[in-house]
Amino acid sequence: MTSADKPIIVQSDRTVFVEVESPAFEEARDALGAFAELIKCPEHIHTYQITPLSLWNAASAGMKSETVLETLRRFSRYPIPGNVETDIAEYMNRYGRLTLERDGGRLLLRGQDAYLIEEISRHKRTQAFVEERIDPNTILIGGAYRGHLKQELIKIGFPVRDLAGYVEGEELDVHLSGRLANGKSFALRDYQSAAVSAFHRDGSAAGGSGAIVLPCGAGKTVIGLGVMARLKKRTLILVTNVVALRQWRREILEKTTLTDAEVCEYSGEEKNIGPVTIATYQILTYRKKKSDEYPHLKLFEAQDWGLIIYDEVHLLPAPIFRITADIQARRRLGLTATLVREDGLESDVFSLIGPKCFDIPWKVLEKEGWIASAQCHELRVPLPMEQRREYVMSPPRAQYRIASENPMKMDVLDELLKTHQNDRVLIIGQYLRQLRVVASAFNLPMLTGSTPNAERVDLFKRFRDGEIKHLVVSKVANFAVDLPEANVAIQISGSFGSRQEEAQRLGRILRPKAENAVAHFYTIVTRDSSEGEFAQKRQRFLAEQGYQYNIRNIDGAAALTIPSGG
Amino acid sequence: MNLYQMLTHIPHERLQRIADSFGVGVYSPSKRNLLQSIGARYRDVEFLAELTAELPHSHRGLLRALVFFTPPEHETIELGADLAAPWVEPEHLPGAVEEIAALGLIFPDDFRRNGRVILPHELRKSLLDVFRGQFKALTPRPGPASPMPPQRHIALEAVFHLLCVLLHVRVRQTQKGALHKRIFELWTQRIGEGLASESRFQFALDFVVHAGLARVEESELELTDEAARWLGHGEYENRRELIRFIVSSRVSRSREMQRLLALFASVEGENPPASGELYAVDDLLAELELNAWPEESDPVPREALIERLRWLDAAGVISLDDRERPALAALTGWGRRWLSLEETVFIEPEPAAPAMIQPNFELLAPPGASYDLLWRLDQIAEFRRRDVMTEYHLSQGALLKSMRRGWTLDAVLAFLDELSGGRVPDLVRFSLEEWGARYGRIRFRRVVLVECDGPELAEEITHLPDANGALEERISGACFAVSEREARRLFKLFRERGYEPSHDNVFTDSSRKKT
Repeated sequence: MTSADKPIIVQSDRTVFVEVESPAFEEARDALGAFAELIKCPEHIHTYQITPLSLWNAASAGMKSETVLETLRRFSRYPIPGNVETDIAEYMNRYGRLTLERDGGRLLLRGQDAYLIEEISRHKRTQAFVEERIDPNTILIGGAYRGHLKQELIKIGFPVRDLAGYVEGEELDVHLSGRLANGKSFALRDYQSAAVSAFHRDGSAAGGSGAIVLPCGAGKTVIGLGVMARLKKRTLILVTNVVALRQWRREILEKTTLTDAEVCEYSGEEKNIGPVTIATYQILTYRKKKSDEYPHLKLFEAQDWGLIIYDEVHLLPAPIFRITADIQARRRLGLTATLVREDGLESDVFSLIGPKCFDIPWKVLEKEGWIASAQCHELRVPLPMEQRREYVMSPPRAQYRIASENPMKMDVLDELLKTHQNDRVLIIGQYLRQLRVVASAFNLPMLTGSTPNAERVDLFKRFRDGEIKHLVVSKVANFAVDLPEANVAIQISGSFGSRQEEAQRLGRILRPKAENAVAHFYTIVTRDSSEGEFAQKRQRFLAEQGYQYNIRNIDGAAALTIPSGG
Repeated sequence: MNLYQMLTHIPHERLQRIADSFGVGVYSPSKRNLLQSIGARYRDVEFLAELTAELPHSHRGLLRALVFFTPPEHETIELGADLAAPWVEPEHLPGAVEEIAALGLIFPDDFRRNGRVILPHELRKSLLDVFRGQFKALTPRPGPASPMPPQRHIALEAVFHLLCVLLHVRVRQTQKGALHKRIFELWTQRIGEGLASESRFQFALDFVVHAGLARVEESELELTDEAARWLGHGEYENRRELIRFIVSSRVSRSREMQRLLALFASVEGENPPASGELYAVDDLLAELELNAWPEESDPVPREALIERLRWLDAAGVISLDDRERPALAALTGWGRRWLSLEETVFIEPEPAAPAMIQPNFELLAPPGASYDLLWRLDQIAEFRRRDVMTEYHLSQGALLKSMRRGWTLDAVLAFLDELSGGRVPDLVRFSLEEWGARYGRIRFRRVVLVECDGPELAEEITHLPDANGALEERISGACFAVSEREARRLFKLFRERGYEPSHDNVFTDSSRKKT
């Protein structure tokens, strides 16, 4: 590999750029994933960050600093800044210098370096947890402080290796189903089995807590089920919202031997507790007043849980961290596509849920077809002169709505629906009035927040069965829809620059399709308007997630030729 | 011209005296034999050390300044009075030069007339070793790792970022003539906390003003056109310019600075320190005190010496571990090259690989990107960070700002295409086009309104032959818009034709002249 072929460029702040076009890109990407966090992946250059935590995650998996440096040198186009080399060696050598162990009923912090132990016993962040200095290398820690000590130690730069073990929790007879209701056989994929083993570590104290990091669509839920089947303990599952809750429940009932009565929902709507209980972060962090306690956190003690699963652990709210600090003796599994948190609490995930215990190179997932790809198209239409006049005279919020409801969008939509007449298409919009016009003009069924549940279930079923191919969906319904069969989404209006929303909408169509077809995501926006500006912000976010945008200006019905829809 | 050729200029008798004084054995005292024997001895560092020891300290100081601080690539050197000033009074300079030349250590090139001397390369090299022997070699120790890529020149970086700050911000002086602190903060944001220091900022500012890249105009520090030209000279030339500035501003007139630099050149001994290794400042200053020549022994307070170290660090000649309280110091690679300790010469970076423009509007310029290219990027994009890669962000604000500076949308797009090898992502191109298209759709321009008392008169004056199409822009039946220049001509024309036009103070200057 010549210097010019090398794909990596290491910046002095430990940012790592990886050039996608390099012939060694895939190899470098997979090697980097072990000790750096992917921050963004736009078209040409992906950005990773080497952080103390990413290095400690690597160290916890047994990687040495020499290996990290060797990898960087191997793929780096330019010399690695001297301070980066020093930092990597220094940070990685810190992991494992301290261990938490159990000696009978006693919780001990041990370290080879007596000076370090001395420092910790006197440090203002940690001294409150110290009960006694047993010998130069050992401190007795108050049993209730296991999680709190870990949190503080990581803050002062010395992550501890927790080998203090777990309570077993109440037994639960659970197995994975070998065959699904539709008759298809079911088994964990190889990498899913490997993830389960990496977490379990034969039941030793070295395993049993940690985060599994896999991209969307790689089957993280199924890995959760695999861990449940391996441990066979009562399990509390924490998820982001009700849609996810129901999806988990459906998967558990479909893919394990558990029965309907054994899998309970704990949400704003139902509050049942059973051998397997699925609760939302929202209900657990609910309280009437800011000064009140969180009443639903008692769920953590409602059963003798042997396993707690944290879905989308990068979104875990702060109060859940606090309670998790108190339950360090229970096995904890975090599932996520990224360890990067917008609130910067990555170190709490590391110390309270556990270090990353498994990830898998993208190459493997792509090669095996477990990740779908999507093509994004933005179609820019002008605002007719009549609306233009109204637009310029209106306040900003009204301008946005005028641009969103641009009647020119109807022609484009018409063309798109013709192009995708045999696909499963979701037409998504922000404004009910506009959606009603669309539903009526194209004679399509519509799903909104006020659609009765029975009707909603019926529409879902008909869409899944292929009886309905095109479905109009409002923003409210958007969050409660799980229609993996959709392979085309057409967004005719969106909210003010919500990046999360765009990602969510795109996520609807990103599940791998049986026929492995490419999914399409269209956004129709009014050119030269505030809607276009907001759309740009959302797209920038998606571009950083690795989606490519084709952009077309549509200058009137005559010029309307929709890009190939596949 | 080599040393042998130079020695031929020394009279036979003088050569004989040198040979006798230093015990140079000559088989036959012919000039040719003398030249061969003495020539061989002039390459002998020990011999030269003895020879220079014969010189008064002032002459030695002068010779050392010549060896260290004049451009090593030239053999003919202009010995300005400034460089000699710390050692010899101007009126004694020709005599001193002749005395040094009498020993064959330099060769005057009609010095009294043109101030030039000749110092052959091989003699400079040997003399360099002689002067490096003044101080003893010290043992280096590991210093902190620098975040800056080693091939970059810190002082040039400081200058470049200051120019960029001046490009974007109006810099007003305070009443005391200083710059507002905000400018230092902006500069610090660009160059990075780890590399910023007040001394480095001041160095950059002094250089920028000295080189005419900026000037103070009505209490405002503003860029001159020279800035862009200077950056366009290329880094090799920029570095040479820096050396000239360093020598002229602080080295040539300062005995202490010359001594300090000789010290840094000496303490390396035969083995240059490994990358990142530095010497203890305490050891350096102790050595400086112990091995001073008598003329050098005026005690210079430690804090004053530390201040000079900070300046040399700001100039990129040495690096310090800590600019506030330096404990370790050593020559930088560039400093070593300047003092001729390293033979490697600076080579302009290879033509840069294409820059990467990402669909999220990031632009990454590769390490080899020239200052000239970065300067242009700074005009059309928002600077984010300079590291191994230099990061910019394309934005509506930056684009419109560049257009107000005179860039056209086409020029921006062409530049980005050229930079990226034609790979400007759709999202970026469409956005730039949309933003750029807004610029100038409404235009304010300065015109003079020519108003007639009715459409008939307006029609009539359009037919005046000398109006020459100046009345083409008719904005109503009785009104025309004309440029200021044309207005003056038309006014005169109408008056000549007997129309007796009036005006509302449109031509204030000319009316004052008449009264």
